[in-house]
Amino acid sequence: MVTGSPSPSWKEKPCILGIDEAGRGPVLGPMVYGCAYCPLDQKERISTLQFADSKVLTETKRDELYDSLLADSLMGWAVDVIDPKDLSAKMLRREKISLNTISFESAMGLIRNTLNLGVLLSEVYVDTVGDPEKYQAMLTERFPGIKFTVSKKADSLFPIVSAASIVAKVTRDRALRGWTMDETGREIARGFGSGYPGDPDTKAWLEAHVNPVFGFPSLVRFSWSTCKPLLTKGGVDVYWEDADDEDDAERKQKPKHIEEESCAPNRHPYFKSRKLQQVVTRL
Amino acid sequence: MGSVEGEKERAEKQGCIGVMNVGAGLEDKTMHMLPCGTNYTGPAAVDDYFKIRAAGTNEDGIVMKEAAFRGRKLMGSTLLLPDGFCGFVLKKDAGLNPENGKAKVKSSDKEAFDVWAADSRFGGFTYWNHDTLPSKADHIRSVMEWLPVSAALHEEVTTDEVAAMAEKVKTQSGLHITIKREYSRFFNFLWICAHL
Repeated sequence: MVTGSPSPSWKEKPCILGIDEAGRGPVLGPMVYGCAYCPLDQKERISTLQFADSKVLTETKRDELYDSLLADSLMGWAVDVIDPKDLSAKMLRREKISLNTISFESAMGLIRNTLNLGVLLSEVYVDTVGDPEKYQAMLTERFPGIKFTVSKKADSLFPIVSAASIVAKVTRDRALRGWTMDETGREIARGFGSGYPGDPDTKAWLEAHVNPVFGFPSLVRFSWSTCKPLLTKGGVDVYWEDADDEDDAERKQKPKHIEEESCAPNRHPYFKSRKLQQVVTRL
Repeated sequence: MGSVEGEKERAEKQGCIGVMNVGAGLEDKTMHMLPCGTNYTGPAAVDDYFKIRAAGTNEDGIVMKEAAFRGRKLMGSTLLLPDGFCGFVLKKDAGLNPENGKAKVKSSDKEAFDVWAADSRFGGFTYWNHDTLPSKADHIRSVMEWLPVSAALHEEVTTDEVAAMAEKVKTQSGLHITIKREYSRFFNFLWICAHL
């Protein structure tokens, strides 16, 4: 869902826009795509505002810059908060959608959203996902007339991308801090650490929050490879019809009744097609 | 309820392989049919984890629900059992094996005689599809069609009806029976004929 600042008064001036993301790597919480934009003639001023890669800033500094950005009448912003439930669902669909595709779509959604506000975009700077050249070619094809710069570390190279990274990071941190668990019945501790799979706090939290049947609370991205061994260890086995990516060893363990079809000599197709099996015979 | 041995004897005469005890005052349960399987049998914190949201009505006019299980998005629809049907959640009773008095009867045992006890009841259930929206073409919907057909097939047929049917067969050239319900009863008719 995209939210952001309203259509600005300076929208007819040529503008620059930066895009960056926060929370792509973590195993829990939302992934946030953020963008910041301003008139091209503000480029110089923006570079004096101390926007830097959000990761090198302290939380206090980030919050400060975030507030000043929101108050800046010559800057616009928007965020796309992708719920962990949606990430899991998309990546675990029958036809799986990769995290890269989800990321591209989110970034393109932010551009589209800004264009729909009537903002005249002339230059767009994007921190890359995967190969920068391919990404750039794809964006140029989708949005002809906009000059794209896609690069690694764009968040430290271009102040407008740094600004976007701050918007994204602060939004994700606040979303995580104010997270209300869908699940009920037991107290779910909030000490989940940074959410990165390598963080010991995150690991310990995940291990402590496996429900044998349902797995994790929906804050967790089930599609992350971190989850699988924890579910195998702490949860019961669950088999899906579309589990074509499972290896053979796993397949053999599948309980028989799951694949059972209606079969008996001369059984009428009516029953076969409905997989109806006779359980008891009355003579 | 008689002894297991007595039950077995009675049931075997009728060609049954088990008995089902349905007590009074069973609790009504909400049932879900998920598009996955598990080896697990036992309790689950359904109400705490399986959060269901309304998801509008689709093209087929089916009222849809939305939920997630193990990270997968599920789209569901609730079906009611037809009139005259009731669903039961069965548990295998720790019925004693009449042969050796042991508590558990192996399912591989040819002599196995299962005693089931109804744990709770249900008048319908929600079936869930992974990703795909519920539709009229869903396999489980066609399964449900069988229930009224089955009921009609096993309905008692009175001697008057048999006589009427016999009359019809006599008066019509050939077995031209068109009405569905009569078609199903025709099987009973043949069955009765065979036993007359």
